[in-house]
Amino acid sequence: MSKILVVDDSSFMRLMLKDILRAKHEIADEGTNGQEAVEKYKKLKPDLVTIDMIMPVQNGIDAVKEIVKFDPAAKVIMVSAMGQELLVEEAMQSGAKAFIVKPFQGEKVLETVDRVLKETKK
Amino acid sequence: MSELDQYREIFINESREIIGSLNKVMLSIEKEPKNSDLVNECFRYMHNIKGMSATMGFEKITKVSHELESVMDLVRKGSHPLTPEIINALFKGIDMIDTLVCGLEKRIDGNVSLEPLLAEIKECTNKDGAACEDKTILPSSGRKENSTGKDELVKPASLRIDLKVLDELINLTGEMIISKNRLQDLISKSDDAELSNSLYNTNKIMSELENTILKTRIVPADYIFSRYPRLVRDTMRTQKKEVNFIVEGSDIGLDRGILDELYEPLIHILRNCVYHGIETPEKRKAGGKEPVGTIRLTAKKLENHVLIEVTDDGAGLDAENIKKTALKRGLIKEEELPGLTDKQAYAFLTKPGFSTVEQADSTSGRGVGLDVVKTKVESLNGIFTMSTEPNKGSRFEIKVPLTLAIIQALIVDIHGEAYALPFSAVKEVLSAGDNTNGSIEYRGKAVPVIKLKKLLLSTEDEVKRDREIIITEYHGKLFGLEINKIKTQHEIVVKPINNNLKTLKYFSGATILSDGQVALILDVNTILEEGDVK
Repeated sequence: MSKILVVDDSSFMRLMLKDILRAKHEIADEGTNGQEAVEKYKKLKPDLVTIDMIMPVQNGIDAVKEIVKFDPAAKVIMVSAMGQELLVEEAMQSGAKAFIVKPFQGEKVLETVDRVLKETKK
Repeated sequence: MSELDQYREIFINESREIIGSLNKVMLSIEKEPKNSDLVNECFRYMHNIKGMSATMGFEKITKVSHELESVMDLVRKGSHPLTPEIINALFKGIDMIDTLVCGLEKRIDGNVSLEPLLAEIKECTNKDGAACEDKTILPSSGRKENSTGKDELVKPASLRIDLKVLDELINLTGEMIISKNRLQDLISKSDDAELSNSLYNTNKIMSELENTILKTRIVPADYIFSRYPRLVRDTMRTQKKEVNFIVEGSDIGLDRGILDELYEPLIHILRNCVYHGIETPEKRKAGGKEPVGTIRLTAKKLENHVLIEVTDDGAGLDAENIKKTALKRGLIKEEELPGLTDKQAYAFLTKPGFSTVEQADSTSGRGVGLDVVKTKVESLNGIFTMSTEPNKGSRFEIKVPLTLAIIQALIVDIHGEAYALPFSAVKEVLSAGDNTNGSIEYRGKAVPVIKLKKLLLSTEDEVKRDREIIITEYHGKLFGLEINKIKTQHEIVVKPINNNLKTLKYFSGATILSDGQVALILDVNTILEEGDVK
């Protein structure tokens, strides 16, 4: 069971993600923008972060960059609605380990989370 | 789908919030189409609603929001200017999403055709997309007042609970306290210290529980205020008028039930201001006014009320016209006309069935008069008043009690009984000393003293008790209220009492104290009103 930080400006999306993740993991905390993501990451050191790409205050990509700068081993999964696929590359370059497109399926999310957790353990 | 059904309500609520925010941002964008912060914010909301609806499998909403998002994406990248046509099409798209969300709520899958709207959006973006001269979007240098940056702070609540569930919780808590009081009576007859101790703790927990539950009903006025700018904009357009709509006090907290009830009356008042108050730009210019009229919606917190004001700087009410209509409607007789003052004429506006609009046009065609507003406000134990000045404008005031609100109060002892005195009414507390006459010296002035014991209980026993004077103010005049002593200061929950009980006219409500005891809340205004007359 890993501790996961869930960041999305939509409370609906956070709730859904948390419900999916809780099946196998523990929710460390949640955040509503990039800045909160960075602050909470530094404070809580979660095992993994799921982060929305388009958010107020600070967007997901900039937040991931900061998180990875603070902890190069950080495991971050970028989540975004379809239509932003072109930004996958930018997201991955920022340091995210995977990209999930909304609408997502619960199993797919859990699978991706497991994969990222395992991969980076090596 | 059933698995997703549990998220349906949450989806609807958050979508509602987003639609409200979108309308607000779009109104700001209309004024500052080059403000990239606003454009990005708008894009983000559209993107959010798309992601959410796609996750829920609501295809129509996904489709519309996808189109809107695509347009905004072009705009924010500078590939397309934000023309008035596009802004209009975006507004229509937002309305469409609103309609679809309403359909979801009512569980009706209306046969809404998206094609005309999608075609319109496409047409707008194709029209001058290529030759886009003015494509730079300037980064904004600091946000304007009406930017929605603040909205994030005043969003209602992050946890959404059905109002019915809350009401049920409140009812149950009330029942629990009554039943506990009975228990308390029984226990007080026994000498069991352990029992009383445990009851004392239960008491404390119960009052905390009640306070907490009641607090969940308080939401910022923004909960309804955020919906009006769009309404004013649309109304003003159909009327070919120009209005600067200013909203103030959106962060004032009020019981959500009251706000729900005030939503429609305020629509009516605001529409009235646009239709009948604000003149056309030409007329305004001719009359030496700014061509753009101003309508102001303000919420203010008073002692134990909230005052919601709507003012406009329009033509004011037309007393002659009102008199004529009153005559036509048979509300007065011809011979009474000459003696009728303007003020009396305005009062007809709130009489049932009165409407100055001759034809049932699409504007005020719903046949709702200000009488409906008045009735609604009064049903909330509130007061509706209006005033007007020819050529200067009109003012409509709605004063509603914080029926279920929580206020700070002094719990005072009057003849052995506990009463609550709203803290906001207290200027200072003085010891009465041996002074028994009708006034006390306060800062070098003689201030009249109202003996609450005499007023409330019609007794004036001569057993010497402690006496304290609470200095308070009414319409700029100082008064002293004589009580026996201050017991404590508390945050109390205001509960309504039946206004028809004449003996209770000096009380604005009741509250349950931390010990489970009921205390009446003193209505300082009414008390001082009488004191002023005497």
